[in-house]
Amino acid sequence: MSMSVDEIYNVVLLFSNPAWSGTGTVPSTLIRNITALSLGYSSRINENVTVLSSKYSSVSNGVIQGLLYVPDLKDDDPCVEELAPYLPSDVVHQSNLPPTNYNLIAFAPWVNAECTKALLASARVDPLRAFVFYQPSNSSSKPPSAKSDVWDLQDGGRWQSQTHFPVFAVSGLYGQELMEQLGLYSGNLTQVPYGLNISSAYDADPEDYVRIWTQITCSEESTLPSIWVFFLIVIGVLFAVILATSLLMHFIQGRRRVSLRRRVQQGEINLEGMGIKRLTVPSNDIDKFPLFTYNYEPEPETQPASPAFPTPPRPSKTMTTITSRGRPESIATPSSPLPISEKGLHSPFASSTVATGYQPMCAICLKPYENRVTIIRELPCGHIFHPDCIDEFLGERSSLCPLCKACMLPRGYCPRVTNSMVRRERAIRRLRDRVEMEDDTESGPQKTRMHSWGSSLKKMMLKAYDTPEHSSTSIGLELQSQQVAVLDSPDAQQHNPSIRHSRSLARQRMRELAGSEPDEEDRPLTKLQRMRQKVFPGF
Amino acid sequence: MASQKRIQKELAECTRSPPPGMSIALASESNLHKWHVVLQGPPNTPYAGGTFGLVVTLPVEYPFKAPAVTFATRIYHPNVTNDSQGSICLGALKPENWKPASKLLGVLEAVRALLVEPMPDDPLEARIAEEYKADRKEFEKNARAYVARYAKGQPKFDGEAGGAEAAKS
Repeated sequence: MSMSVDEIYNVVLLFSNPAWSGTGTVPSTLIRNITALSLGYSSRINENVTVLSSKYSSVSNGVIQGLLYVPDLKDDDPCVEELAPYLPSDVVHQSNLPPTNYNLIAFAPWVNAECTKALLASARVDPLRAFVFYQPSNSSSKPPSAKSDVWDLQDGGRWQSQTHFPVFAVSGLYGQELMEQLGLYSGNLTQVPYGLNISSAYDADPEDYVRIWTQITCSEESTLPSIWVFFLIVIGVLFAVILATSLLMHFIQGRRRVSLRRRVQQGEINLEGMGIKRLTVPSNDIDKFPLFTYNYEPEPETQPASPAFPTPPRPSKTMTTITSRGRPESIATPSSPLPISEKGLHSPFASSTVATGYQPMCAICLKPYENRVTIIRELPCGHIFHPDCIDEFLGERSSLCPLCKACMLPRGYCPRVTNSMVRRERAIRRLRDRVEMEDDTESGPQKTRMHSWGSSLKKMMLKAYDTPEHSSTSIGLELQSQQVAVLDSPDAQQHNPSIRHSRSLARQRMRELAGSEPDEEDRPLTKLQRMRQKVFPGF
Repeated sequence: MASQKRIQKELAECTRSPPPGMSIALASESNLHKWHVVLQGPPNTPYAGGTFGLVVTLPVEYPFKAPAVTFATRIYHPNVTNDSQGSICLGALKPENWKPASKLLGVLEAVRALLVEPMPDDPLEARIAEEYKADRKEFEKNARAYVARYAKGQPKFDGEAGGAEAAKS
C-alpha cells in the first residue's frame, strides 16, 4: 500500500476561547472560516508533496486535518539554536493553540538528522495526525523520494516504523512561505492579519484564536490499479498480436486454398488418391461416361474357357457402340473396331495406365459380361463395369477407378477446399519430400529413425481404423504397393511367387502411409480445437 | 443384392479352387458375410505343421468396403497382433488401398505370403519384428513354440476370434 497526497490546503479558522460561565466550561469551538471571507491566508498545493512515511496513517484515503504548529523542543536542546534561523520568533507552538484537544499537524524545517529526531520525538506525545517537513531552500520542485539519502536519520530507517503518524515533505519554497504565515497567525485577535476586521465582523473576543488549519487530502496510490492497468495493456497487446496473427494466418490459408483449388482443377493433384478427401463423382458426370454394349470377338483358340484368368494384353477386344439407353451423344462415340487402348483418351491417362486387353467380367460384381447383350460403362481409363455397379461406386463411395485408382472427376472440378485439406496436402508434400530425400541418402541412423517413425505412424493409423465410422479416411498415395497389385491378378503371383519385401517396398509403404493421418474433418472436434482452428487456420 | 451375388461367386471360386493349403467354409450357412478359413502353415517356414484359423468378415458394403481378416489362432508373427484379436497388418485391406476389384482369394494369398515372408519393416509387433531381423533363430524357435502350443489340431472359431485360444492359454 502506498499513499499519495493530492492536496495540502491551508485555511485560517477562528476558534472561540473556552469560556467559563457559572456552571462549567464552554469548550473552544470553531466559529468561522476566515479564509472564506477573504480575510485570511489560504494556500493550496496539489503537487510536489513527497510522502516520507505513511505506515501508521489513520487515513489512507481521505483527509487528514488539524491545526498547524511547530513542536516544542526542550530549552536545552541544541536544536533550538539550530532551528531558530528558520522559525519566526512568534511561530505557533502548542501553547499558542486553543486548549481543547484539536487534531494537530506538525510543521518544521528538516535541518539535520538530530533535530528532526528531536522534533519527531516531541511530536509523538502530541495528538498528532501528520508531520510536514520542508528542507529550507528556494527550490519549488518536489522533494526527493522517501528512499533518498536526504531523509536518512542514520538509524537504518527505524524512525519510519517508530513514527505513528504520516510524514510528508513539501518543497523548500512553499515550506518557507507557510512557516512565515504560521508566524503571523500565532497571537491573539489584535495581532493576526485583519484581526480588527475579524473582530468587528464576528464580534469576536480578543482572546479567541485565529489559526491556520491544514487539510491534507490523501489518496490510496495503491499498486493494485497500476497492476490492473499493466494487465490491461498486456492483455490488449496480446489480443492485438493474436488478432494480427489470426488475420495473417487466415490470409495465408486463403491463398493456400486458392492455390490448392487451382492445382486440383488443373489435375495436378488427385485429392482422393492422396488420401486427402474421400470424394464422389456427381451423377451428371457419371452419366457422361459412355455406355457401350459389350462386344468381344475372341479369337477361336481363346474362346472364354476360363474367364477368371485374363489372357495377356492382346489387341483382340473390340467395343462397338450400339446403344446407350437412348443417349444420342453416346451413340455418336466412334464405334471403332480399335482395341480400347488405342482409343483417343485425354492426357491424364497415358497409354501405360489405360486398360488394355481382356476384361471379361465386372470387377465389382464379378459377373461375366455377355457378348452383345450386357451394357457396360467405360471409364476414361478404359476400364469397363456394369453401369449399376460403377454408378453406385462412383456416386457414393469414391472418385477413383476401382481397378486402377485413376481419378474420375471431370477436369476443372474441385470440391470445396477446406483448411484441413490444405493442411493435409502440405503435410503429405513435406513428408514425401523427406522420404525422397531418404531414398537419396542411404545413411544408417537416419534410416532406422525413419522406420521407427513409420511404424508409429502406422500404429496411429490402425487405431484410427478401429473406429467403425472410419472407413472413409484416407486413401493412400497414387503409388500402390506391389502387394496390392498382386492381389488383383492371382495368377501373376504364381508367376512371381516370392514377393520382394525389400527396403524399397517398405519405403513405398511409407509413401502410402504419408497420406494416411486420420481425416480431421470426419472426427468430432472439441470446442477448443474447433475454436483454435477458426482463429489460427493452418496451425 | 449385388453384394450377396458377388460374395457367393467368390465363395464358390474359393471353395472350388482354394488357395494352396487352405480350406474355406462359411461360419454359418445363413450368413455369407462371415467366412472361416483353415490355413495350413506353409512348408519351409516356422509355421509348417500348424493349422491356423482365419476369420474373414465381409462388411455389408462389400466389395466397396474392405473385408476384415483376423487370426483366430494365436500366432507369433511380426505383422499379427500377439493377442486374442489376431489383427493382421495387410496393406491391401487398408481403406486407402482397398479397391472393389480386389478379391478375397488374393487377400488370402497375401495372408499366406505374409507367413512365408513377414514384413518386419512394417510391424504390428515391434518386438517380434526386431527379433525377426536381429535373431532369426530365436524368432523361429518362438514361432514354432507358438505353433506347438496353439496351432495343433482343428482351429477353434467359437465366439470371438481366437477367444478359445486365449482362454486355453
